[in-house]
Amino acid sequence: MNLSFQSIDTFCAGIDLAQDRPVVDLSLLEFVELFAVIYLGQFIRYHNRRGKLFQVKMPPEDSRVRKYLARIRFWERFNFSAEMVKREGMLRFTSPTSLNDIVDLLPHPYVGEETSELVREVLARSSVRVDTDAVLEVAAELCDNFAQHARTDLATLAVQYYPKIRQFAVAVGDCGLGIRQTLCENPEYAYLGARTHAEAIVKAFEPMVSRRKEGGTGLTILRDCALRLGGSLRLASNDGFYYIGEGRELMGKQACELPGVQVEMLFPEE
Amino acid sequence: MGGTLDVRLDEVAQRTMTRARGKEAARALRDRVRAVQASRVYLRISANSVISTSFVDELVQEAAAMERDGTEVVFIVPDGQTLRKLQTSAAWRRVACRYRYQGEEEVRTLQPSNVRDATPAPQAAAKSELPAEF
Repeated sequence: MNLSFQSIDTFCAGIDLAQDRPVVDLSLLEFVELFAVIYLGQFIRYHNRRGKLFQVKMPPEDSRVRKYLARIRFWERFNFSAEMVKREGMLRFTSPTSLNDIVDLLPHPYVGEETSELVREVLARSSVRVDTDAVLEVAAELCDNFAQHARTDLATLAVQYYPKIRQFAVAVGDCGLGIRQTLCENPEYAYLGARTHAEAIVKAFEPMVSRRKEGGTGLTILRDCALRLGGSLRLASNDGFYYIGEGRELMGKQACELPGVQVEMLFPEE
Repeated sequence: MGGTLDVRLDEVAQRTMTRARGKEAARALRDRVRAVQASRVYLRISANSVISTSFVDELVQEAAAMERDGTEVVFIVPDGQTLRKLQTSAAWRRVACRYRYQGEEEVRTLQPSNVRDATPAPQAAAKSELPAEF
């Protein structure tokens, strides 16, 4: 089983939340891509905060994906089960950011520039050759969007390099208001309340569309960046999704409804 | 109105990655211009600065406001990447924007254009139709 942008919503929709301790069955997991890491993390966190403690069927002990999830401190960060943290031998995030870390973000006015500095350090320590200015700009925009619009106390940032496809990924997720509800605060876009989440997402990619009179360019910048660099962008908000890449721009409805915004940008290596 | 004011971007902004910093820089620039009642401002952007489009967008808006008040603003740009960001912002705001390349004398004007009008809308699709990346 692989978890990706294409499949993570169906996977999460299949988790039985009616149980006291819902089961997340990862026993057959072989590969998980960054968007799915962020999405599953936000899904678990969102329901954790509503009293659900998940039981996880882990991948086999010697599997690469299990080691990967431990290395990025996935369970400790999202599931908050002391028992699992102890069993998996995880520690709180205290070391400098590396290429495979997850970082929690708090909403404050300068979280964008702080995060882009972190990502700059990560890139400087690596041999990855990407358009650094573009990566930093995208990281700053993603984090600023969270701080300005999500109205929640926590988001998550992760970066990852995929050597096989020579792409560098930056992903940010939160469980905040989400795009449609945010835009509806602007009377000009209140009509979106009666439209699908996917339609609201597409509207948000137009320049100057925002819940406020100012700004409204963050998602436009991401889209332009993906087009210019030949990268790709995947975004989900509630039950809507948006994808741009390989010359295609697609949107639609996904199987799982998760509040907030989860987004990943992939940059091709130069 | 007074004469010409020459400002290096790092005199009005230490950090240049976000809209919030762009607002601060725009305010600082406005204060400098008002203090000397300049009729023309050259804003020099260094090749060493990594500036974001959101940051530039705040400066472009401030420049447009100054132009309306009778002060010419000329961005001195180090490279095509910075110019592209100016162009993007000028198109969003539908304002003209003066610029000059570093080392050149000729001041040119970016005319506003609506770059988004020609962009087709995204197609509705099922997730299963998305290309697999991995």
